[in-house]
Amino acid sequence: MQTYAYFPGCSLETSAKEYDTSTRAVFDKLGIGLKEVPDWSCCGSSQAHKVDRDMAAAIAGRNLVLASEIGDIVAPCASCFMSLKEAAVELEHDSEIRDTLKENGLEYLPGSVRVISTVEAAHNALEKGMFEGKITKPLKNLKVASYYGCLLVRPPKIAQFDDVENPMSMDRLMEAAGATPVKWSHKTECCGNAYIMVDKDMTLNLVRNILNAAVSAGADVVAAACPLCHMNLVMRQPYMMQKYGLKSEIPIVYFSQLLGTALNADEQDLDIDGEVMRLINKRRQEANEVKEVG
Amino acid sequence: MVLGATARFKSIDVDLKKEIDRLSGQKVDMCYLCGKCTAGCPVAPYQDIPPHIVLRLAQWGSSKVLESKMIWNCVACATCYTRCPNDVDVAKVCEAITQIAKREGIVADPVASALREKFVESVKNNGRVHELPLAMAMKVATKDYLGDLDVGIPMFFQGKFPLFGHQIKDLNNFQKLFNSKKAKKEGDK
Ligand code: SF4
Ligand code: SF4
Repeated sequence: MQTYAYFPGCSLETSAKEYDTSTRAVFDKLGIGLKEVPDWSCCGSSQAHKVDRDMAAAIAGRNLVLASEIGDIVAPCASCFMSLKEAAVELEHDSEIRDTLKENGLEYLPGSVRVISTVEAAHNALEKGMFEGKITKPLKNLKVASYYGCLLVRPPKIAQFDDVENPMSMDRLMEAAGATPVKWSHKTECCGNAYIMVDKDMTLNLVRNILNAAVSAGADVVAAACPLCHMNLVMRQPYMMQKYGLKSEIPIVYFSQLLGTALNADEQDLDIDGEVMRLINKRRQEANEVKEVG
Repeated sequence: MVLGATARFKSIDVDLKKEIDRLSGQKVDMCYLCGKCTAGCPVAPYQDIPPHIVLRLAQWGSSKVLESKMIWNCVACATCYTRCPNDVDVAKVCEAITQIAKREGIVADPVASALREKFVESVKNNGRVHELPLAMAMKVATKDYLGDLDVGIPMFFQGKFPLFGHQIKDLNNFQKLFNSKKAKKEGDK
């Protein structure tokens, strides 16, 4: 069985538990092993490199060394994915940072571990035909806006994944799950990440733009692949309707929750909001009614 | 306001442009001011000066750039770097300028500065980020004590924000990574 070193990241232990459990459930259904990186530490996220790039590469690099015993490292959080991959690039050509790690008992062998996101890993599985026969509960008629955010694809030199301006991998996964991906404008626009804690007004403006784009494109739900994006998009929708011109509320789910639903994974692991589940079932019913009439 | 490369700063002995280049690993002179970075920058409309002007001031070695809010509020989304015809990583330029500004005692956006510092502090203390204490520390920094309670309290009761987060086992060695020779050399200069 193919096994990845799994790097959950800090948010998946706390505010994004459902992203963690649904990710594990999806990969389990696909027959791909996820082995948690032992004693993993924070990747540094979007903040550590602002203080000191070499320190950021060293703390992210620690995880690469720990993962290399298991195999290629897969991260559900877009921010973790980019921090780890950036560190891998930096460690490749900076022997001083490698020495720092070595002094602390962590020997990094260049090229020893590849970093990918869970979107990429799931998409690879799709290309290998590993979904075949497994989509037993298709998300018929559900219109999904796939939201990639910044760091799954940018900067392309480091991410090395999908088209940087119009990525399609998550759209294809949604299609495979029986859903209908919508074409929309804000797939890779920034949600403001942790700046929600710095400049709320600015961040809410950015979020409003993303959500309105999804609503205008006729999406039922937005699929996210990052706990920070998810939190920013979910929070304060009613408030944004009052004060920021949000057109309507729209549910935000993790792409793994949708994939898992189609794969008939355990409901408890998926932990999908009851209202979203009702919407999914409603769309399925509509699809069946159309079939009967036709 | 000092325009031109003549200004001298207490923490650096080369001109400002060279120091920005050194810390960022970029060459700000590569920028030809096309404005593409600004066109796609999500935060630019909410700042004092747009990213391409940060580059212009950096090329001039103007100390004015140290006072800018933009440098602190770059969210590192990499849109600019992706589209720049000259391969300038503007986020790295902004981040380098904030590091110099901080050394000079000029912090145009103390809250953005607090975020990165509290974040690193939280990581250093536990090996992982604890969202609740971080959010609390930021509330103190922004003096916005009640703003997010609508979200925070339900999350707290769902067990999403545990009071005591996880601490990694090998914390001792982990913390040494923060005091590496290389990190020190640049940080303390
Ligand atoms: S996109 Fe590049 S060249 Fe154009 S203004 Fe921005 S940094 Fe300069
Ligand atoms: S990386 Fe910074 S400067 Fe560049 S587009 Fe994003 S926010 Fe703007």
